[in-house]
Amino acid sequence: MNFPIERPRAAVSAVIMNPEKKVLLTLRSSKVWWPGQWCLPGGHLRGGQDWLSTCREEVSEEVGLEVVKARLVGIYSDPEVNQLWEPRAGKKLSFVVASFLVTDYRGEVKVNDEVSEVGWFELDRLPTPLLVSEKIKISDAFRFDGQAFVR
Amino acid sequence: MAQIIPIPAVNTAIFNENNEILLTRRSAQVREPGKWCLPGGHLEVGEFWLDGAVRETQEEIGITVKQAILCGLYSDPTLTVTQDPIQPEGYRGQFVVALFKVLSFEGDIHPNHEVDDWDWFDPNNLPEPILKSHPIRCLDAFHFNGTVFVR
Repeated sequence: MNFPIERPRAAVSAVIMNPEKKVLLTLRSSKVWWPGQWCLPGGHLRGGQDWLSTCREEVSEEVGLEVVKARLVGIYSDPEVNQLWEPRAGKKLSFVVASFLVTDYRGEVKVNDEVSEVGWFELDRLPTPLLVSEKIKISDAFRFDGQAFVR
Repeated sequence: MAQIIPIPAVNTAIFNENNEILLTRRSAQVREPGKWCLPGGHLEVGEFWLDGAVRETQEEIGITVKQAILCGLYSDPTLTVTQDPIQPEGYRGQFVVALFKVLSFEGDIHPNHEVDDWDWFDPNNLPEPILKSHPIRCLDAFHFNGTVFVR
């Protein structure tokens, strides 16, 4: 995406949790930024769409699941973990993220070419390398009690 | 049609002891002059969401927000995409907004040059003309009971 002015980039993440309390993470393929890092499904908010429709579309495209219900867990913009250097973009990218917990979904996991591997993980056994922005979003989803986090 | 680019932004909802909400009228120096709106503005690169809300509120109306809670997250393109391209860049902005309900603040209201009037309003009886995305935010902040509105 080519921005006329570098602004904070709005993005969404989905913490998809199965009944065994494991979360779905994807290993980023060589087709996308930060290849070889594990991350949550998600992506840039698409101009002309809204937070939830972007969440549903990114989940559907990347891991093939249909989101039935998504709850806002938190909004994130801590530059320590949301400003990421991207060599191919040639600059540091600055994200502000809305993260949604998805426990109600349909379908079977089927990934697209942005993903080279996929798996379900327990909170205390997350894979590495994990994209630096993801840890807090995952742990917030586990402790979420209905009140959204602002970080 | 011009490209649409999401622009992260913040609003604050401030209530007086009569549960009336503070609105400002936009001066001739800003986009959509003469319309009433909630305090707010763009989030800066590398800025925490809440810091952006505190900063914009301080700048526009001179009060210091001491405590605030996230009550809404907005991006509905039918309400948030600018009608005219933002110049000189030529794209249309889509304001993707976190709304904070202010629970306590310090100081007296001293608006800056972006504001030519301000007042307290019953959320069920808002003034006209008003930014079209803002009535729902005023009502959401008024009715907020712990679950963040995502629209």
